[in-house]
Amino acid sequence: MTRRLLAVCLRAYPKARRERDGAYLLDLAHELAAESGVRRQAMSLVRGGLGERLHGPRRRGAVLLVGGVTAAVLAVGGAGVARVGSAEVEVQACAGADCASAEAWAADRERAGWRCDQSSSLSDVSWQCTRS
Amino acid sequence: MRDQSLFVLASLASGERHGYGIAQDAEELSEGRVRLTAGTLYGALNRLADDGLVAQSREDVVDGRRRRYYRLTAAGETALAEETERLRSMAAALSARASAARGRRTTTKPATA
Repeated sequence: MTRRLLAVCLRAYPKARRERDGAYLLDLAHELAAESGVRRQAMSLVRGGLGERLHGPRRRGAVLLVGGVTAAVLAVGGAGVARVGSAEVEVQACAGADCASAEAWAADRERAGWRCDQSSSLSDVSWQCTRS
Repeated sequence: MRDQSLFVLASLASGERHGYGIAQDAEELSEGRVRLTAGTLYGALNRLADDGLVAQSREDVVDGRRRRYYRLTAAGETALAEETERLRSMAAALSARASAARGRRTTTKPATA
């Protein structure tokens, strides 16, 4: 559960960063979480990832998040919620049979006017929905 | 230079370390004042590497965990020495001013009846 939550928060980083350093960063966060708590590490990943998106060369998707560098994460199960400035970002991750409810969640968000992006890996599927 | 970066450099001054080792050493060195999280440490190491102050030395896997080791570069040693000297000078100036304030308060203390 801890590792899955941290993996979800890692998605705040740009894709190129995740592909290059994601596995290493996830291991580091997981190791530090054993001492300082998963919530603190999860917040740091979201904050660090959004910071990279804001200050990196590619700002697509980050424009909505302009307004601050303080992100708060409320995490329950495979879900993460972050608020930066006036924008909200919610992430749901799932694996196997759990995905039906997560998919329905993303569809609900889109009907409500959120923009949702789906991404998949070998072990899980996640949706990141943004509302400004 | 931010405290986090300074403590990362100081941690690497005693030899190469991996990220988790840097976080532990920085917390110990700062007597608990600097507690690095994964996101903060990763960002600090990337910035320091971009500036040529630290360099990645190797990677290995311990107990199934990937570990990336960093070392201080010559430029990093210089930056650490300069920053330490800057802090020493600033502390000396502030200390002198604080001593002067204590001295004034002592000399202007009203006589008691």
